[in-house]
Amino acid sequence: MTTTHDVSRDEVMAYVDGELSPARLVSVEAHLVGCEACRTLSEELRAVSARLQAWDVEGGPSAMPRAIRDAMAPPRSRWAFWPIGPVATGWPRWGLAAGSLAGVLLVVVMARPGGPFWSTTPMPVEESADARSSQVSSPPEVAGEVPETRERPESRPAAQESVAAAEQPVVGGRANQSAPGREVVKVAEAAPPVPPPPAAPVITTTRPLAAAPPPAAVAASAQQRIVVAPNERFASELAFARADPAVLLDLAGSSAGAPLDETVPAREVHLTLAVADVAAARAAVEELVRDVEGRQEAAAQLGVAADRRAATPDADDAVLRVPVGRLDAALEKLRAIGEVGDVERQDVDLRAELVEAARAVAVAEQTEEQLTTRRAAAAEDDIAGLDRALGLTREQLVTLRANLRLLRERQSLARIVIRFR
Amino acid sequence: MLAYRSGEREAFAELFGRYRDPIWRFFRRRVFDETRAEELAQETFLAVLQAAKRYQPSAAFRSYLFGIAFNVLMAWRRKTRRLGEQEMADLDPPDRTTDPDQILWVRHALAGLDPMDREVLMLREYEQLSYDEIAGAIGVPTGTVRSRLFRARMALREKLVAQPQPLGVER
Repeated sequence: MTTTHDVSRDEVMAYVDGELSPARLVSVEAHLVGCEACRTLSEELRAVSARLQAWDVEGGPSAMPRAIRDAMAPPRSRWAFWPIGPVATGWPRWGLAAGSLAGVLLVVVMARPGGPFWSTTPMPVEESADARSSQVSSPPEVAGEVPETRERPESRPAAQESVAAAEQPVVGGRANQSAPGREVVKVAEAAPPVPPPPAAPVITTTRPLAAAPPPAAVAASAQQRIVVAPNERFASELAFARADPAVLLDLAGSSAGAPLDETVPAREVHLTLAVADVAAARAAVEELVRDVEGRQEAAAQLGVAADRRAATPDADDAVLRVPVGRLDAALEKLRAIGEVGDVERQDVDLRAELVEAARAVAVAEQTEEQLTTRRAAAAEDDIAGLDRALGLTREQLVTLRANLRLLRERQSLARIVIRFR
Repeated sequence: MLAYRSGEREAFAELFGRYRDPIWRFFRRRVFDETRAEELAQETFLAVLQAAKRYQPSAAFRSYLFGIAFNVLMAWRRKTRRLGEQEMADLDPPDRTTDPDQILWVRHALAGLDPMDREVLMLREYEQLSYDEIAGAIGVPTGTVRSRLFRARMALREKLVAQPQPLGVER
């Protein structure tokens, strides 16, 4: 249990809002278990939100207003909008056929060669700038009304091309909009649309999982299980991350890994302890624990076992964990508390469990590393799924590492299972 | 938006259908007059249409849309010199002598907040934007969103949590 308050109050708020990173979420959750002040704060924050939700507002009109309908890009055929029908052929065909643009602008131009609107002066190319820019598109300034977004057609490269085409002499009787003195009224799309540049950050399709070179044989078998199907991008990772640790051990493969030369024994002693006063005996055993180990955890564990005693008198009453080297000394002290009987020594070989636990941790760590690598290069649409898989994987890692740590403790600590009589 | 920009009108119709109610509710909670709220909501979608060619998909569309709505609201307030508190308070005042109406009490509690704190809180509580989305919409760092949100909630904590829940109020 943490004894330092390393979680800020606004972090508690971020936890309630679901805005913490997966790693920090685990830490804060663990902190809340032991911190009443933070738990109270989280409850109060939820209460504030609940009270605010009392203010509900009914939905608005369902029909699309006419002004918006009219403002939406018109159909692709633009012929009807040209007041001078044949002039429209001056535009490149693809410019007209490529569809609609945002807004409807009314542009009056003086179609004279060399005139201001037909100049060849380079204009800012918005699409190229868009392609190069990595900045977020900021909402346009609005001065209390629909913003003025009139742009001269030649601000786009396609517009320039169209302008150049429009300056061609008349062929076949078609009027040329660039004829001297000709005034052309165009109800235009601002400019012919430009295809999105290839470099634009558009949605990408699913990419297969790139297989990292396995550092060891065990890694290869684990990686084969992490398969990403096109339609279930992160299903395998999520299933892996949600799996029970026991299942993960199975996923990690058989125990035919790197064999250990020695057994890894975990000593256990089962015994009965006959006492006249169980409560006094329990206190004496707690004292024994402190004397032998000096650790609070074992005493706490003993306390829990004693609580169960009243409900199930025949159940195991206490489990002590003492350093292996002090096992015999602990047994002697128990004999001083009561009559020790039915002593049964059991040694459990932890080798297989240790190998499997270590393998499961390795698999989970590899999964985390792979997901992190993929996230670094992921498209925006994939990031949420990757974050979710990463969060679950990291939660599993916490559990798996704790399992491994407990197994290692069992190597160094002998268990004495005491049944009070 | 990308689909609309490349000529698919139906794409914008789908966007409109999806965000019509959220944008309406955004203005309805902030503007006293229902007709004016409807006009401002319409203005927001028109602004989206007109800015479509500059739209970049590198941010969440919700953040972009509510950023436009926020700008529309601010512009209207500048025009009419209203700070928001007035809208909150213009509504029928609560009857504090008997059973305070939950909704009106919330409104008046919100009216007592710092204007920007209130906007951040409302974008979170009612528009359900994430911290990052709020930051993108109103143009402040995410850390500022977090601190303002915390301040607003702490300010409301005393007022709202201490009030008894009236009977029969539906939610």
